[in-house]
Amino acid sequence: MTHPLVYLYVTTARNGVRRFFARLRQPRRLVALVVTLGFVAFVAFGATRESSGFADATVDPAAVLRAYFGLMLVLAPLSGFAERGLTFSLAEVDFLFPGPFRARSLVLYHLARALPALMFGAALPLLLLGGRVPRPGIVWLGCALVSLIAQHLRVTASLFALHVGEPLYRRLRGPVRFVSVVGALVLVAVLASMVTDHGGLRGVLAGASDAPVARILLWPAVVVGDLATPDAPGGVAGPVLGLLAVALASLVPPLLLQVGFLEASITLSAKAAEIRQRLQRGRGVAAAAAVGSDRRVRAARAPTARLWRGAGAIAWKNALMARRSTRTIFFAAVMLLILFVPGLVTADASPALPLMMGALFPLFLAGSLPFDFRGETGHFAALKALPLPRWAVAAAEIVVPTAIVLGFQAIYGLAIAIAGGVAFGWVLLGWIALVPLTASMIAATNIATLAGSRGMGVLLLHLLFYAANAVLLAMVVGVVRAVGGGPGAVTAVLVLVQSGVLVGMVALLGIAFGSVDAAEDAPP
Amino acid sequence: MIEVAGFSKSYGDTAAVTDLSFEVRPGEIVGLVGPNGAGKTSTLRAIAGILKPEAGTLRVAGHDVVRDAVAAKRELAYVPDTPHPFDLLTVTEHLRFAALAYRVEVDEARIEALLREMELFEKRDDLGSTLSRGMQQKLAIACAFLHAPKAVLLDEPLTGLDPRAIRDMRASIVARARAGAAVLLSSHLLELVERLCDRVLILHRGRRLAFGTLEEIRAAVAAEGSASLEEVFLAVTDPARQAPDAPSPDAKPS
Repeated sequence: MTHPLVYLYVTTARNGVRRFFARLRQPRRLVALVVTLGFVAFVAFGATRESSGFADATVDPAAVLRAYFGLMLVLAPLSGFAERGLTFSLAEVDFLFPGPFRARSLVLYHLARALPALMFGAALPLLLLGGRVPRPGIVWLGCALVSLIAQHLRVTASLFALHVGEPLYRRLRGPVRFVSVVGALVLVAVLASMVTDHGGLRGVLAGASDAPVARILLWPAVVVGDLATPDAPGGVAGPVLGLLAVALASLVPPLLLQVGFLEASITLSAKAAEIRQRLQRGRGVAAAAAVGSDRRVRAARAPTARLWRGAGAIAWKNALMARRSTRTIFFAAVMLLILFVPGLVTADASPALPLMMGALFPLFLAGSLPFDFRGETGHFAALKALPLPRWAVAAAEIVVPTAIVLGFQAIYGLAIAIAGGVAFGWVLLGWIALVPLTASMIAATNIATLAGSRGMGVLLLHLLFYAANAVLLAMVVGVVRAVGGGPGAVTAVLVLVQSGVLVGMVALLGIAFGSVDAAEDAPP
Repeated sequence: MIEVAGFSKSYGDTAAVTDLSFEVRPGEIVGLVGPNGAGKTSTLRAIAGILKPEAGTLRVAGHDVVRDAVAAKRELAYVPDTPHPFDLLTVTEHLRFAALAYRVEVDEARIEALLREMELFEKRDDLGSTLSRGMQQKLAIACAFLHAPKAVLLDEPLTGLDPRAIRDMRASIVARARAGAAVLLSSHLLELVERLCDRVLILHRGRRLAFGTLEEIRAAVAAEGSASLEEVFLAVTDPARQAPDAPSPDAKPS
């Protein structure tokens, strides 16, 4: 008789593949797939083309892989310990937890279920490194085995955390979480540095991971790095077999730990499901992860100014939500720092570059600031019943995220001006020009979300709008300069044109809001 | 068939259930009622072997759910209040999976009969993600009934069902009990509990307030002979009656 968990695994995978291809019959999804593949190929091809020869390249793939996987091996048990329990889907909780399964079978199933994502994740650094990696197939296998070891360490730590007494666990949880979050952000920075060639942290981490102690403790990561060197000092077969042996050995502790994890996993799984749902509804990682806050807040007084009446009330409500989401906004700021500062500090940037990068803020921040239509899931029927025109609701919804992004852009501009890179007057002029552009981009994100796009789809539509908008503005600048307009005239015309675009985007957003079927709007 | 003795469970400093004891005999339907937060779901989950009890013993068909969890789970079926089917399994595949999990023969005729009984036959090839709330509920109950369990735990089993489906589901539950299963059913629909259940267990703030037939509980709270379960429930959970020196309405099991 087939083992039920094997049946479940195989049937789910088969149906998943079938559904994927069946959905491609929809033109929207087919286009999204083609664009996504094109984007991936562009990233991979771009990374390949930049390397004029392995020896001359500024990026050393071996050092990057050692640093990346070394960090992963350190972080895996820490994040596992902080998590305490295993994450399952809600269906698995409902059908497997009360089912006649041994705990060991469920742990194995949990690990097996993570395999496809793990294999894909192992390919990500190789994709970003492009053609700089020799023997990509072997290196990918090495990366996959190290990821597997990290996953086993993570699960072992999660189960071990359930063994630890409650008082001790509560004392340890805070510091462990802090280190995990900081480490995860550094990991993102390492990934970002792979594509920018200007990562400040990469060199430090590469040096640390090459230290003798690290070479022993983080041996699997060192092996992957060695595999990615042209001469592969230890050969290929031996290290790969060694990694396989470690991966199998690391599977033993989670299977031997006899611990009741079902109870802890129910809460964890429910929280994970909520985060997944929020991500699918177009929220960024930081915003999606900010669930389950049970702190008490004091009720805010209703504002008396007329500005906050009618549609203004929606903006007031969103502002309250933002004020109570300081952690989400803080994470967004940290992500921004990691993504933008290393590149700017080390690049020989032209004065225009920082301003252009400031214009990109909405692209990276929009997902982290869901204080607009994306925070209204489950409330659309009530929103539609309000005695307000659609365009007014649309305009009010984008006010808060726009204001926050403009705030970030102002701080960024001030930092650039103080550092002496760009004159203060230029920064101010640039910031004024960014006001309608930022609002238009937030509107574009909302339109994409209301149109039913999720995750990558929202990002691609956002990029598409950004590109089209950039072409339009470039044409306008060209025309103004051709008729002899100076910088002041260029800025004035840009603001005027972009304001026109913004009016159009708000009108479109109003139409998109009107077309949302409130009956299908599931509660959050 | 379901035996609970001295069961206690708390979450942090909050006591969810305190020193709860009761039993459900084969062929009997016991209704578990109580206000929100009374400890109903915690009790059902503990019997299902999902929550670890802090004190007491819980047995299903003679198996201790903590020490002999797999054997106990093999004899029971648990349907949560909001079941979530697997997104990528069809309705029929859910039942095949249940058959494999509980080591019963994958009998396609039996699966078809269950699907027809639950009015799911037309949906047999639909994926779990496409089912309505009511259909998901029916599917979970069909999976629960497939292996003819000796103990059935149902948490709000009729939520999301239309009136006809409620009537049919009621008949299905009664049929399982008549076939010898011990059924423990939690519900806020007191009228349904009154019509369906042989005995009623009233929980409040994790404590057993009353347990017995409706007549026994009526007598314990000195209610009129025609008092409905709703009236009895409101009388039992009346804050005035919750005073420490108030007499307990608990009826002795018959």
